[in-house]
Amino acid sequence: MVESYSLIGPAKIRTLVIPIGKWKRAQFLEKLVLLRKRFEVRLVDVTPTEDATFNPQGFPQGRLMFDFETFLLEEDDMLFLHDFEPYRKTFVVIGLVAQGTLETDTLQELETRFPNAICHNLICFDEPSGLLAPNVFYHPQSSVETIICDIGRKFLEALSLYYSSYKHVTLRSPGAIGGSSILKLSLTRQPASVPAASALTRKISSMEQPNSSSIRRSASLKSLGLTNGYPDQQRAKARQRKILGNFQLLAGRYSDALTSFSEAATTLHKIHDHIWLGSALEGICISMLLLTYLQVTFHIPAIINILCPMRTESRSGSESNSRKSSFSKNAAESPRASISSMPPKMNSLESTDINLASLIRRISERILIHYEASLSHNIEFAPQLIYCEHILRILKFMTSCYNHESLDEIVLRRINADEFELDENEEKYHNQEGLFTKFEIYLHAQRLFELQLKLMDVVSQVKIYTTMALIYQRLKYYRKRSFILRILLVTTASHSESGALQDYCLNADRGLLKDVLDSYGVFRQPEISMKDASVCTWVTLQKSILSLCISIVKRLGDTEMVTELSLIFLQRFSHTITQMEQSQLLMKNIIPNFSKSEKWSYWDPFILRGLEITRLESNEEHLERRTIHTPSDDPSFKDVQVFNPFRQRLINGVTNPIDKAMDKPHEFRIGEGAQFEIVFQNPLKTDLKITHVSFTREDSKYVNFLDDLVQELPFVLGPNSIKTLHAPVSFKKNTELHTISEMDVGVFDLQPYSFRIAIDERFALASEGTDENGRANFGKFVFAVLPDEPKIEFVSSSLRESAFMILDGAKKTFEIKIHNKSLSCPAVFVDVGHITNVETGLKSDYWKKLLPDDLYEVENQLKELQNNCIRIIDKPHILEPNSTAVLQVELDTMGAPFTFKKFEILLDYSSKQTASDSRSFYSKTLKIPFDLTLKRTLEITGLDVVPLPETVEEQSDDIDFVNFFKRESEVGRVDASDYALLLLDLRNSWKDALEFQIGFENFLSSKTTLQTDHTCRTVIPIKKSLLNHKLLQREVPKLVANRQFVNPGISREQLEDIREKFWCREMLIQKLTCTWTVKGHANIHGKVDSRQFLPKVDSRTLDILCPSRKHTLEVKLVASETVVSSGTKVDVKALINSQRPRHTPDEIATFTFLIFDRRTGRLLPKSNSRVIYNGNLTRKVKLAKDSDTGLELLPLDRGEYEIGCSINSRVFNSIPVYIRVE
Amino acid sequence: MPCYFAIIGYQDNPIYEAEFPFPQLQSFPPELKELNPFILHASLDIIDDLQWQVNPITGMSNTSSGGFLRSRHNNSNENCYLGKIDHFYGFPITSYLSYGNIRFIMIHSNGTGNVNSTQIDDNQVKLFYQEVHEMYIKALMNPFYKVNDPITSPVFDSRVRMLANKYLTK
Repeated sequence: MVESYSLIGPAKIRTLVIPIGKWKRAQFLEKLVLLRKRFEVRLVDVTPTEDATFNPQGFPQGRLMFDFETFLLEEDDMLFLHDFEPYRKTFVVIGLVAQGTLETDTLQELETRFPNAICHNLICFDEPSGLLAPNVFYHPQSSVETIICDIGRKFLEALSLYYSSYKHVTLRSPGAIGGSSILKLSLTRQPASVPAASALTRKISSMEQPNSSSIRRSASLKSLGLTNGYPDQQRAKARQRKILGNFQLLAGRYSDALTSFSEAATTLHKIHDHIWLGSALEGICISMLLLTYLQVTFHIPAIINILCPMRTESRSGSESNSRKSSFSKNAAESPRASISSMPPKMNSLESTDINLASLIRRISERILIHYEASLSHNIEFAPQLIYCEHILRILKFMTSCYNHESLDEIVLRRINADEFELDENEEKYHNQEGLFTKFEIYLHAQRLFELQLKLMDVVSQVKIYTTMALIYQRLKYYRKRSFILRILLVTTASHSESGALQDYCLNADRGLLKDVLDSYGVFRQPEISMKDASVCTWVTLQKSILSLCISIVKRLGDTEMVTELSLIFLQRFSHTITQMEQSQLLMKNIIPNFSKSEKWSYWDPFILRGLEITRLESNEEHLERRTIHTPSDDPSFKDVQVFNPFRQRLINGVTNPIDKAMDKPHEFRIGEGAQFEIVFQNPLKTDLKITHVSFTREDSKYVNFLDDLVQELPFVLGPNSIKTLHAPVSFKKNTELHTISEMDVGVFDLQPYSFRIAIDERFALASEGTDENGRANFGKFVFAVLPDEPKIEFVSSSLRESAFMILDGAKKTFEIKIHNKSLSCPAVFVDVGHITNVETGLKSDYWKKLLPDDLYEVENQLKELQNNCIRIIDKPHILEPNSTAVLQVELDTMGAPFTFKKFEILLDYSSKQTASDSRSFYSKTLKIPFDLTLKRTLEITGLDVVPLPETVEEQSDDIDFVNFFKRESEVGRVDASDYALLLLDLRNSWKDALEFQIGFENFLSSKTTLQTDHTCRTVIPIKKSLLNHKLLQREVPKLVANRQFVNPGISREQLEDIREKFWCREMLIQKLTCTWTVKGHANIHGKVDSRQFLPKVDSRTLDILCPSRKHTLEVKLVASETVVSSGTKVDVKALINSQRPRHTPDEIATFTFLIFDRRTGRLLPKSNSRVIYNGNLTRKVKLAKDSDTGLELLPLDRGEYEIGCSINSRVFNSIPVYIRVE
Repeated sequence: MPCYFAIIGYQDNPIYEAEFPFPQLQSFPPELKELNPFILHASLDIIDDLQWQVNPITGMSNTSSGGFLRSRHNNSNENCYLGKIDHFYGFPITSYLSYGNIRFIMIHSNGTGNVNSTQIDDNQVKLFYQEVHEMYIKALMNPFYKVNDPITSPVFDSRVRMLANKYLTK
């Protein structure tokens, strides 16, 4: 269709190719391509004809150009133009005969069917047989080239016959033939003014003389006698001449055509036959272009020089200037001016001297002026079609030249072959200044919009619009192109009768429609692509073009396309349309068509907004997943006990709550019921009906909806809403871990389709390389389905209501009975344990701020509770299905604190068969709670340690510790200074009298009865040597390893102090035993846990029990006499005993004797008159071994003196020597 | 004359659209009303072409301001006004280009259907564009406004209409 607007279109022979016999479309098109490839026939190859007018020998360089078409779209409509522009006629008909279908009368039938054509031919793709007429060709026998040459010859013969019929006809203008039905040129602006006749005539006549000789060159032309006669006659002859030119163009005799056209133009100009003149000028352009293509030099006709004066310039010379001048308001350009500037030497212009492209353009301007000038005439007016087609031809020519600097071979070949697309090499030159700039071409194209195109017939409009679209595409004016295509669509849509036409221009795959929609960005996918969503678009345009396209395809009856476009509309532009429109689109365009094809699905990826679960049976006991540790794992290591400064931040830090929630698997058992909460979203302004919800095939192996769901469906969502569907499910098959990330959802009774769970919208662009580029952040639902588990239940215990009272320090044994409820699974016990309220009441970081001794205290208590307090005798290992077992529990309250009020027996059991992964299994825990009341019995309320008085023997016999000493002294010597006395206050808090007995190492008191609420003091002898330095130096033990202590801020001395006191107390606790019996109830007995009652020891106690704990040296002073008379010499000796081997061999200390006045307690000065001595009081001693040193004193004054000593001024002796001087 | 005016962002998206139906004149015929955005959109091609030309072809425009590129060398925004760049069935289309590649574009019509009388007073139109440009820059300075987003401010709208009343009514 577009091809007809090639500038050299008038030089092409219109040929109709039709199929005869049975052809397949593809085969026929293949043959057509074969022909089209060889559309050009050189005249030198054509056998000469007899007739002289169109004899190929006359111009052997010439070409015959066939324009193979397969349709006769406008033949009858354009009949009125056949006289004016005879090339519009379809001259040749070629029938392609399929194999074996040639019959004798085929050619006749062809002639009768197409009587208007002048040359009928048949090409048989068969062996030659039967019919051997001159117009019948056989393809494989003779080549296509030969066939076309022969057809060319036949055409030339026929053409001369056809032309001869024209010779004696008076040629009438199209307006005269068509009458009022012809659309007159309808300009929206004022048409160009009519050129002044008189001036022109004068000029033309004046230039006729030198030309006349050349005109008379051809013999046949003489008969036309152009130069003589009256205007009417002249007009007729000039028109004949123009027609001849057209025929010569068709026959390939281009230089003859140029002559004919220029002669015709000269005369027509003179007689102001504007429309014919315009056509003749166009003929001149075509002839010149074709001659340039054939590289034949020619003279520029004089008439051109008159109408479009030009300077002789080389092609590349200041083109832009000439172009510019031609650009000034063309419509207003007056012919008068051009004539006055006519150059002096008009005949000397050779074709090589001029810029042909620019010239053609200027001639075209001139032609348009003449066409416009013809408007004032009633009959001799230019039809709009002629005007438009001329503009389009020139436009196409200009576009072909665009971005080429000259009319080089490539351009000419392209114009000739009518190739329009740029090849890649040419693209490179895109930005170069060519013969015409983009804008020039555009301005020329805009001339079409000065016309009322709407008034033309549809076919012409479609042709014009498609050509313009192509040109804009070539110029890369894509937006203009889209606009033109839109106009084209509107045009076709508004002509309902042109259904076939619509089908033609919107070919099967709707390429054109998609093209337009794409160019307005309708196919951007904001619902999928992040990038598209972030681009702003002109929604008004998109909406309008989309509704236009929908109405077109609807008219074409293409339901599939209607659905596709409506879907796009609803999906991407739903926010711009009203509820009414939405429901119409949905109900009329989408849903009825949805069911027809399986390729459609619901369009919104955000339909499924979430998946949650609620457990229906909340009292189900919890299953715990356990991992079996291999020895290489470190089970004791607990992260919580190592100080980690970043831990706090981890907890408080921002984490993704969604991920956390979604990643934690829910655990269910087979057959367990649960409720899924499925959240749906409706983006529409109308109701959304959800008619189908199911799990995908993979998911439905494990979980399925119950039948109740059917009652819920269809689930209707209100306009623009989010709603939750509660659907009961049951689990079918066990699985370690299963993830649901999508569900099958069907809406409006359509085929269900899988949708992923879109948690929220994504706004940031995904980094490149990741395939997740969608608009949504997708969520998932993770769950595990576990197989059947055993179930153990607590049946009964020997205690009433699981509660009892017990005296502190007493023991108790009871039984509990358990039963495995499961009928199939044996329960394997993993662990049987217990936990008390003391343990549960502790904070996990209880150890953090405690001093080491307190910590030992707490942990020792925990250890006691865990290991000794409750013991289960006969721990079972396995409990068979439906069987019962009895557990013996022994409770020992010795060591239990008074805060001990509750405890639970914990039974961890599992079926042990779950483990697909052998390192882990699921276990259940059965908790059996008990309450108890701990009653206070014998308490230690006070503790004191005193040094032992020296006079033990004098005490009465019935005192326990005196007896003890007596017994000891029987065995051996008892040194009183080796002992201290421990005073314990005991109180009976129980309501009955208690009989108790206290022991300490080898001391055992007699049984004593203590009445209720009474307190008594017991004295216990303690051997001091139980506490020695080595014991005190030991660290406070830690019961739990691998803890990282943060320094609690105590000094080394304090720590040492704590340590010593701790060991002192430990010693007391270990040695002290106390048992009691309730008076009169020998079976109720118990022990006192002294750890509970003993307070921390104070420094005084420690000093008594271990007096020398701080000394590294022990000094013993011995005086020769203690009571002397004044003036008697006394020897004092100091024995230095190095107790600890920590001193280095050479360590030397300063030893000083100190002499005090005992009465005043004052130190005597070094030199005094009361006690005098020999030598120094201070001396050096070696510490490595035991040593002694002496001092000779001579007391002068009477009185009592105390002699002491110090080592290094730090260590003082503990027992001084007293001397009394009388 | 009724005019259809739009500010187009650099992604060919409308930032602001307005039709100026002056009470004393007829408004656009409905079929043209629908077409207006399309016409403006198509004309963007021409602006794209014109903005890179040092010597614009003044075939359409009757201003002598020189090309848009030339204006980079002087400080005035005289040359942002591209003049009449296009026409559609005789309705002239004028345009103005900001340095941030925001296109101000307007289709003029006399509303009578007689296109011959649609003449543009270049000076008045240019003044209109310059003032709108100034207002656009003020809108741009709003910290809550992102470049290329639609301007929804009713104040902006009313001021543009005021300017249109001032300069475009004849």
